[in-house]
Amino acid sequence: MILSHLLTIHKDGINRASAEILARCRELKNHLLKNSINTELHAIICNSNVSLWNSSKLSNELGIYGVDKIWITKKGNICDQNKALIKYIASAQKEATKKYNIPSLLVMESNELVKDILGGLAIHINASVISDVIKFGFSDNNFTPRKDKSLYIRATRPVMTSKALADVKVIDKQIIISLRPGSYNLPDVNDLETVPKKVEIEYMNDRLHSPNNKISLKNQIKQVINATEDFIDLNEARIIVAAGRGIKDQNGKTLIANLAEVLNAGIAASRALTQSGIYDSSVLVGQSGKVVSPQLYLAVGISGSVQHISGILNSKMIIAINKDKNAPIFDIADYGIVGDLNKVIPILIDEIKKIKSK
Amino acid sequence: MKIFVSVKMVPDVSAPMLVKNGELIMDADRTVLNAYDASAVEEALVLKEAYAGEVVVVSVGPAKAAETLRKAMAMGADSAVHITTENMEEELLFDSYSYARILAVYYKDQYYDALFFGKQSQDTDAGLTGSMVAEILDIPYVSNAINITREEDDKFVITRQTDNNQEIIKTSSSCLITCSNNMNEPRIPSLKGIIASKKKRLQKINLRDLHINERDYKPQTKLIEYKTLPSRKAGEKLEDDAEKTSKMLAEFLYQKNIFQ
Ligand SMILES: Cc1cc2nc3c(=O)[nH]c(=O)nc-3n(C[C@H](O)[C@H](O)[C@H](O)COP(=O)(O)OP(=O)(O)OC[C@H]3O[C@@H](n4cnc5c(N)ncnc54)[C@H](O)[C@@H]3O)c2cc1C
Ligand SMILES: Nc1ncnc2c1ncn2[C@@H]1O[C@H](COP(=O)(O)O)[C@@H](O)[C@H]1O
Repeated sequence: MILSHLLTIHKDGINRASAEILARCRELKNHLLKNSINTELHAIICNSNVSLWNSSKLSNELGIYGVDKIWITKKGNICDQNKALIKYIASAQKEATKKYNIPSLLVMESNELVKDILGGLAIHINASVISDVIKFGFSDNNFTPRKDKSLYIRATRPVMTSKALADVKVIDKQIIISLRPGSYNLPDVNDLETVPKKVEIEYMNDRLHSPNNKISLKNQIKQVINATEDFIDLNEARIIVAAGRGIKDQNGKTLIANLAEVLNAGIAASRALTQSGIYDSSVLVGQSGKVVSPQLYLAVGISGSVQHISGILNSKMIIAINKDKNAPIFDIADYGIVGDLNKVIPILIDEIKKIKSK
Repeated sequence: MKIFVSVKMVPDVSAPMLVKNGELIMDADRTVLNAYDASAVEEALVLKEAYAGEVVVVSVGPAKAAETLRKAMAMGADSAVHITTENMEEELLFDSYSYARILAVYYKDQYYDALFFGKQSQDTDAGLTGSMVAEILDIPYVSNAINITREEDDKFVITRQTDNNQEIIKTSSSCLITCSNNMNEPRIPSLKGIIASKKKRLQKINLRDLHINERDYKPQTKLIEYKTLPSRKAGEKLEDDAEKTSKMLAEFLYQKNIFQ
């Protein structure tokens, strides 16, 4: 079978969620190979950063995850359009599977880019889809291929505003899954392939622009508004300082900025503050916003509504500062401080500075 | 201008619930209009008020879903279409794919300037139906809209939230837009609106009369069981003066290797 991943890369490395997904895919691939099922792991790249990587860097960075083949579009920008991105991924998937007529599982990171195309892509390539999962695998431990060459995938996903989990299954020849970041651990470096083998790289440009693949785009991107110029990407951040209604105003916002600076943290906000315009909706965390998975999530003046908590459950550690000792956020916090943030934070910043200068 | 808004009846997720033997037991049988769809209705009404036209709400669901449609009409939608799934045992197992196939069959024969959807259902967070319908109908679409305006040349200009910024996209008419709840505060129906909604037209169409083969909307996903969330235990909670607690927190962070 073909396992593939829509890969996100930065200038200097692959992004964390992609590394988590590749690690999980590699685990599944090895499992299948052990059961004598011919399996390849593919990476599909359509982001323009790929032009900054040469083929040996691609081979090295991805070979350690056991990637066998990479599909690339050089024209990264056409993929800003959902219809084009769907066509692009679809052609890579089709090429990859047609050789052997074998089943495929495509795993993507559950982010806004992917949410935009997930349903459309599933229809386009006639695949079954499970979105926003936190765990997935084959139905049984001893994977045996079905006669009709379909896969049986079982996945766990949060439902009811993350008040419960649902285990669902799909059986199909082509399956797509989107996975919440932080659901699997990053691979242990010692566990990766040390001598990456040569990875096959295929550029898709011509195929995409062939006459029978013509993409007529009806959407036109007029402008991109950058929320903040100098920010730490919340999808990647190791530490996140999150502000809630308790910070009240611009002064509170400055306090948060100062705390984030000493911690080298990304800044998030609850809906109370994105609604009032104190923060941009790009930094909203929760059911309507982002799902984050930092090492530390520091919630300041946030009550802990189910909608907010649903976006932070994949955090490794949660710390809360709130003046109400009964705030629900304390029920899930690993460490909590009951107190007025206006008093606590300035002292906390000083203490952190003191420790760091030692 | 004619806008259809797809609205879904969802269980009230704020009600207490519990998982037992793989099943989800909700305290109350309360259902509500999906919050994201309420935002979609609100946005359609604002556009109608600005440019004149008609707002039609559409829902696929059991008899009870009529309440959801009435609520949307009480907000101001002009009429409603209820694709009923009564007495269909499988109904409970419908997934986004099923609803998308059914809705696409209905919309295929309609004239519209835009189809509005919620960006996701509150109960499943699936977020699939809108883009599936757009792909089936092969119409342009924009997801996760936080603002929608109309241009003179009958095009829509939409601001959408992406991962780290916002895009302003111009798209042609006969498009599909999925709406975030970050774009407005849905109005609360007034008493007058509620009374007026009772007289508005609610068309019922039996799913069986929609000329769609049962095979075509067979759900892709099957529920195996519900489970409880692995619990996060409440950890240490410090209640003391700010001086002391801040120091302890800084020390705790240091112990945990947070500073780099
Ligand atoms: C469909 C839907 C989707 C939603 N999606 C999201 C989402 O994605 N993200 C999200 O965040 N919300 C979301 N919400 C909204 C959510 O229900 C809450 O309204 C929101 O999270 C509340 O934000 P908050 O905790 O900042 O404010 P509040 O609930 O008002 O809490 C403020 C807290 O600050 C504390 N406080 C006040 N002053 C101080 C002080 N001086 N020092 C210390 N503590 C102080 C208070 O004790 C209180 O606990 C959604 C709601 C719905 C219906
Ligand atoms: N049964 C339904 N009837 C009408 N609209 C629906 C139905 N199911 C889903 N939708 C629409 O599709 C959106 C996304 O649904 P989902 O894919 O379930 O997250 C919802 O916000 C609704 O606008």
